[in-house]
Amino acid sequence: MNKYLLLYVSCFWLFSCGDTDIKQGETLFLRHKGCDMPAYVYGNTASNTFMILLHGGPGGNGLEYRGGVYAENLEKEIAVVYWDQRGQGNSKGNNHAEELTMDLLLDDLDQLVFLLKHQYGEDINLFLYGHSWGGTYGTKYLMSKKRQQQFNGWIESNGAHDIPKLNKLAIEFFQFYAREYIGAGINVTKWQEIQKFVNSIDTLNITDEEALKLNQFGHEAEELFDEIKQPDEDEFQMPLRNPIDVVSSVVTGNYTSQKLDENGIEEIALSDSLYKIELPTFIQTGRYDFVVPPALGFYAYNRISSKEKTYKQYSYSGHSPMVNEGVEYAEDILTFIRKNKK
Amino acid sequence: MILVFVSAITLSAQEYRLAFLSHSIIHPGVSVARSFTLSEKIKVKEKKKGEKEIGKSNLFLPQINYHNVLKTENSFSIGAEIIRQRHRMKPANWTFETGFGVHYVRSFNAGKTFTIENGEVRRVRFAGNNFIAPSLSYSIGRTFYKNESMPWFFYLKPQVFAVLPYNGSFVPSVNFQIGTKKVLNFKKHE
Repeated sequence: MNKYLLLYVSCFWLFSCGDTDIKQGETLFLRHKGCDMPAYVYGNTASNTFMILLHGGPGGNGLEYRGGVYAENLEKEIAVVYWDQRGQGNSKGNNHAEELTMDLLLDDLDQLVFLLKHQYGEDINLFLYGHSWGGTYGTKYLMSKKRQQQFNGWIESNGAHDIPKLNKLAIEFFQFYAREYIGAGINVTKWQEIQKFVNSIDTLNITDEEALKLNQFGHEAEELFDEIKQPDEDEFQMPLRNPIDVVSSVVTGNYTSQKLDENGIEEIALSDSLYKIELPTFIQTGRYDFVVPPALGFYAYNRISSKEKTYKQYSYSGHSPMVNEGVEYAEDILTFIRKNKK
Repeated sequence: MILVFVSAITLSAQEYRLAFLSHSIIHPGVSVARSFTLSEKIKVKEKKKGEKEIGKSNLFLPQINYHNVLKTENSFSIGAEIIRQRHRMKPANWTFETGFGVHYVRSFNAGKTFTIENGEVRRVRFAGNNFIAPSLSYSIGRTFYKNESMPWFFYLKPQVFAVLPYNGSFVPSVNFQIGTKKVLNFKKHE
């Protein structure tokens, strides 16, 4: 019997050897309206400075942003709250489809802010960060002055705060690069395919299917640019054993994304309301981001009312500058945080 | 443990299965099961190379599974499978099983859970979620050292669950078991 026991213990030990760093953080679960949403808090909690990370998608998860040098550098100085939004990542419950509205998501974030202040103190410095869909979510949240008052600053990275405008800008962006690259004889077949597709779209009536296809081409286009800096192996790595349950995260994320689409998130257009943002704001874009073209970020920079605002475009990045130019990206966030914390 | 205890006080020689389980490849766990034979047929065929013995059985397999998702959940399930087993006893000792089952899953959040009501934060103890999970499985096993005093049966078993209701829908969940089975006789000293 001993040999069986030894075999089992060896296997369990092998799989239990996760990244020790992963084990050091704290997980707080927020239970709200039929859903338990984990908030993984990693980093320097003693700094009293917290950054809530709103992940992309919808359909992503918080911890997929916790890999590599940029996360390491952020966590040395501040605490990062990798939160799985309702119906995404490791959040789970029996919430019903009809409840999946933007208002419910905003309510969830209210609750998370309340919980963090309860756990770590009313006087903590709190920053809100949103990437891609997280940019839509965060911008929508900050349309309320009362909600802005809870934060020291807002960081929008490659944020999609106006989806109809984003689609139009993406079409123009594709058309520009397609002309350039077909003319130069580079990746001609792929650029012709993209050009044919974007030229066929009626920009006054972009369908959901066309928007989805634009998004897919946006990711594919990044592979056509040698200028985009790829991370070294030691720069961006997730440990083997980590809390992400890939299968359930992908399946439930897709379902939630579909339901949110049905409930109107593709129609969120906040460009005309951006003047309501008075909070110190840092807007980050990637030069070769075809998913959320940099022009959308620059437009937001010009429209918000914040006295303290910064815009930065990362010259060697696509949709995820935290992967492409991690060191600089993290340092820029930290500079913004240092400047705006109490 | 409940399974072992209940079996110990009810029957004598019993077959138990103990497996290391990997949930979604990277999350470790354990599975304990006890098999009951519902029906069994053994056919012996004379071949040129010698005698060939094939067994076909239907089994009932109650089981308890546990897995941990790091910093996220401790998940327990209790359920049972109906197994169709094909057993090549001679000359080799291979066992092939196809099963379907139903399980009750209880996951516990691996962290403090809070709810906020009327501006007041309240901690929820033993928070988690309940699910029902139908399953399908297939396993391949082989007996080693069959003629020795301590034969060793070793099996590989992928098991696929549909966990529901999960965020208004369902999610697939995959376990992979590497296990062994052993006959224990609790009343051998009587």
